[in-house]
Amino acid sequence: MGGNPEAAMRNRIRVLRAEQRWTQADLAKLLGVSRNSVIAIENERYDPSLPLAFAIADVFGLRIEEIFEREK
Amino acid sequence: MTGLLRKLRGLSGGTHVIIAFIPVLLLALLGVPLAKVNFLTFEAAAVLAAVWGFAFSILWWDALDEASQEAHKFAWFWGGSVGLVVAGLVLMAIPAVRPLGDAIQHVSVSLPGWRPGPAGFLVGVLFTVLLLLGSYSVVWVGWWAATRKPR
Repeated sequence: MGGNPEAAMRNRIRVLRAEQRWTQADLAKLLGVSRNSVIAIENERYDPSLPLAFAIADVFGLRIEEIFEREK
Repeated sequence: MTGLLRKLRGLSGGTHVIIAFIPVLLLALLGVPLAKVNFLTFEAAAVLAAVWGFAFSILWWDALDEASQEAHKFAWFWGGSVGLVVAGLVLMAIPAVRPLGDAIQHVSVSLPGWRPGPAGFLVGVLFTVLLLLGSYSVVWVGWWAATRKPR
């Protein structure tokens, strides 16, 4: 039950984006954020808010847990 | 929202402040000494600049994405706090550091249109603001630089 809310988050956005052959700028435009923000999220230096995480899931047609996971 | 308003919204808060200060800059470029400018005119221009800058800073902030807002919040807390502490330490040390106090006094009396007392206060405020902005900028750049390295 529960879990560590301080645990670092990992994500597969870079891989998913490459599969779609999108540039970081393409993804930024789809999400309505800056390219710098996409870089920060891809490098796992910034964890997106829940609304943005849902938006990311939507553009890839996946569920949030298929993109983000807690570091073990 | 009209096209003009949308374009204005895309400009940074700092750009809006510069735009708002155009009347003051024009006076300066025309060679009108600030001491000769009607006090109320100058004050009105300053208030207009502050209101313009504040109003469009709200629009600019609203247009930022969440990571950009986070960078500014982080820089505001850590950069601002460190800058304020350093400014406080320097200001407290002025009586003990005579040459620095003398230098500030020298700058104060050389400013046009102000007497030594108020000018000294102005220099103190400017000094603090510059330290805050400098520290803020360093932390803001550092925040974005850190996001460039994969974890």
